[in-house]
Amino acid sequence: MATVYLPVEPIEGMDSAERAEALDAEVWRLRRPLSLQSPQDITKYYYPRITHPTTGQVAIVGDTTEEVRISPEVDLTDMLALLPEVPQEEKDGLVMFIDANRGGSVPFGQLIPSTSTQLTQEEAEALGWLPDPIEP
Amino acid sequence: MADISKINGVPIANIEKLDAVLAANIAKVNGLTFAPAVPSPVAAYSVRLLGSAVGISSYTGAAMRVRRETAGGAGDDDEADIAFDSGVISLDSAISNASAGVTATTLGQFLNVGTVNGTTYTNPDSLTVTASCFVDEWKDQSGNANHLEQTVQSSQFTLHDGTTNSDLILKNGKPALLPTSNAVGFQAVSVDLSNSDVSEFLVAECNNNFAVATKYGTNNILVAHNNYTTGIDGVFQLASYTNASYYLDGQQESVTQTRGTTRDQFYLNQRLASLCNFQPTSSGISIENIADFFRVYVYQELVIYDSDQSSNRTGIESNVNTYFSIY
Repeated sequence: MATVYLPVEPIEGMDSAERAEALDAEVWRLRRPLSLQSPQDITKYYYPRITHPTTGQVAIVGDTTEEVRISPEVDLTDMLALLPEVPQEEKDGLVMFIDANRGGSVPFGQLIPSTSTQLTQEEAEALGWLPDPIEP
Repeated sequence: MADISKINGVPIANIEKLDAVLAANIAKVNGLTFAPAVPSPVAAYSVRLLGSAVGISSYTGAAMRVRRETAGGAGDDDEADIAFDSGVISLDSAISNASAGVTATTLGQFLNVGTVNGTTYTNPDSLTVTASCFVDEWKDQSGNANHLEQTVQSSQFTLHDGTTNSDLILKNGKPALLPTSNAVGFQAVSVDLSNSDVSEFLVAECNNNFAVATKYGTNNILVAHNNYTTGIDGVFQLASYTNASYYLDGQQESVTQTRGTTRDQFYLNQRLASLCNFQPTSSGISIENIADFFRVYVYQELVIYDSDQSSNRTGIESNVNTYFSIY
């Protein structure tokens, strides 16, 4: 397990929390696309998210080594729309990579865009992402 | 009441009112004093069907909503509500409200568990493996719809580990919710308990890496029964607990941030913790991972009142202990 903290920047029309939630939902939809979900489904997200205690920015807490299952029915349209800063060439590569692995799985680390900030546990702690442990 | 089993041939349990007065409000008849009825809790979660002994008159809903995992095979991540089966969740629990395509009718079939305790469960959904089972909603039996949810797949409690021919995860013979990582828990529900005298009754267990924590409010009220090796033991709170009283397996413990016997008592042991007359200062209830020191472990029951239940404590504890056989 290799924990990675992915602080999410706001984009036009979405603040950090909204975009992080949407991206997290899209990661889950790699495995369970909307076409397979039912309205009663409670599970909607893949990874936990944390909020920076002072800045309010939200980060997705992922695992770079975790194998994310890719549904044969996966649809990347909404995910790509959430990544406006990612170069088109990289988006095309992501689409090809996912298409090649429909019905299989890919490490989460290979899904993280080059434009995303990635923090280790230690770096996240140093930047104040984790609240101080509660002590007596 | 305990000395009267029938009035004119009618069982007492069937008498709801006498001359329009609710039975629960009758304190005395011909000099016989009745114990006060336990009021309805504000939230109540359990692997068993709760009843009047903890203040629930009649709950007919589902016990939980669960998700099955088949590692990408057929039926992966489908969900269903599970009912109580003879008062407790089991592999024979009926399922309902399931994802499209699910034809299983019991939890054992939904998970394709194989043969357990002499019962062979068929595989109507044609799963290729025995599914693991995760809890994404723990239903509130109080009638207040304060259901605990976990919408993140990696943060959900486990109810069945996916081993073929095996039962649900059990603790002391009763079903239990087990965490698989430090991030497991439920998201907070919005319940305003500020300015209330709260009471909590919890059946849970710690291990060396996980504590048991019920968090009240956003950041300043916490009741933890902690076992982190270098952390806090017993009850720990970040706000006023001046009048609170804490009991572990029916025995009073100090309400302090101490390192002492409470840790040893909770460690690898199923326990009943009762906390009465506790005053949160902000709203919300959750069972969650709260920084490094508070990690949840096995859960079986949590009942919360928005009133002081000191006078009913022993009765409630007796009911809980009779079922779970804790001490």
